[in-house]
Amino acid sequence: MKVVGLFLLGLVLLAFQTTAFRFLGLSSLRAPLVVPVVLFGAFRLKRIQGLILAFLLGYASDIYGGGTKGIGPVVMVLLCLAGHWMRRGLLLRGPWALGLMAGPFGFFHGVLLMGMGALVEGSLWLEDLQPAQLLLQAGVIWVLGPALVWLCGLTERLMGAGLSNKRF
Amino acid sequence: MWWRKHPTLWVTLALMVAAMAIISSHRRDPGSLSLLERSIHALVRPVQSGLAQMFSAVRSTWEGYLALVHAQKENQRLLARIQELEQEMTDCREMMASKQRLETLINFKSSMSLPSVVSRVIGEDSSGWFHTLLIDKGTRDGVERAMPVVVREGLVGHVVESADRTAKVLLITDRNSAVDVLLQESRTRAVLEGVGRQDRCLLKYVPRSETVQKGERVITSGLGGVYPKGLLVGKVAEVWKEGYGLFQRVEVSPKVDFQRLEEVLVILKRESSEAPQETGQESSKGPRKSAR
Repeated sequence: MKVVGLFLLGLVLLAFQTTAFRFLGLSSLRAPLVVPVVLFGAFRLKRIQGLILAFLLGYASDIYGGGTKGIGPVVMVLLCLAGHWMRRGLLLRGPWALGLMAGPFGFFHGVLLMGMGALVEGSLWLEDLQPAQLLLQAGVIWVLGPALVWLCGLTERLMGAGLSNKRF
Repeated sequence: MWWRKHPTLWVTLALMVAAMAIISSHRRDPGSLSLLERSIHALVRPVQSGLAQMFSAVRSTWEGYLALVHAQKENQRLLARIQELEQEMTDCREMMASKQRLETLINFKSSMSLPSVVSRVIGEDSSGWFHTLLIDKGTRDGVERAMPVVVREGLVGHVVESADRTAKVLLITDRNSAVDVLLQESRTRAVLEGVGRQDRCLLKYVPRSETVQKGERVITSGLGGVYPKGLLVGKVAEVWKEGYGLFQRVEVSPKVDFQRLEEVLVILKRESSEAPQETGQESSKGPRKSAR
């Protein structure tokens, strides 16, 4: 149920990121808002559930993106594995800590997405890689991260308790 | 059991294999939509449509009303009345603007010999790396892959994916777009490619010997099987001739303001037996364009 809830939240965030930024005239600030959801899944769900959530959200992102479908799931699964790996050593796990960590994850999401795209399509990676755009996207996720993680926590509470009994 | 020892590893591997299968399927047939994709489109569309309307209203309210509030503080008694009238005026203006846009589009539609359908823009590319739009018409309305999308000002792009009630449009400014065009006065043929900027495209393969004037109109050539001949694309903005090379560098400024597109016209021609234009130029431009 938690996976379903977080997946639906991811779809709503996808709908938001494809409309809000455009209609508010902030297209250049468009960022992958599902990254914090994947990170949340990596930290709060069981490993396999987290991976499945990451895969599904990556696939859903691809449906609304202009790139080759299938790259998103790979990238999200890799980010989820990185999250799993990091959760062992992280001391602070509140929404703020996790939300702020989403920024760097957003940066690597862009790097991996363009890198995988280049690998699949046989183009030059550096040609498409725009550092300013990557940093801007990471900045937006960094700013919105805590709020998005809080939303994930709310969804988790609505759909059932997490791995631990602590409120997030 | 052997797989119970490392479940994460096996699930990761299974997911990676599934992703590779999706990549492979998409590379083989980029326009097709799976049942899951159609379901996600159907699930997200109402939310997307609602959000689009809400944010459109927020934007028009902000532009037409809130920006004026600070100038109206001098008379408290009239404030409520003024607010009410401002709101009504904004609504009327919005309706008038919408009516004018639609009238223009319908006039343009009736002036065209090809059947077409008016569609509203409800979203854009989710990643920010590509230049695509989502429109609220799909296969139910006859919108199919490779159909050209235009507005009165000029060419917008073409449909790359079509779900039941939504479709994805690749803009001519996207790096993956390639349009076979003609320079209207000199009749020189060239390929118009997007460079990832809303205000610029690049005209490729224009021989050095051709004389290209700044301001010359660029129209579709009709070759390639996607766009009908004669659709206005833009005007030549810059021309450079380097000291060497077979071709000159020509930059084109598109006529369409892609940031402000709200309604578009999809030309309902059937996909021709020819390969779509992107694929048609694949051989001359390497594998990159054919992929996205």
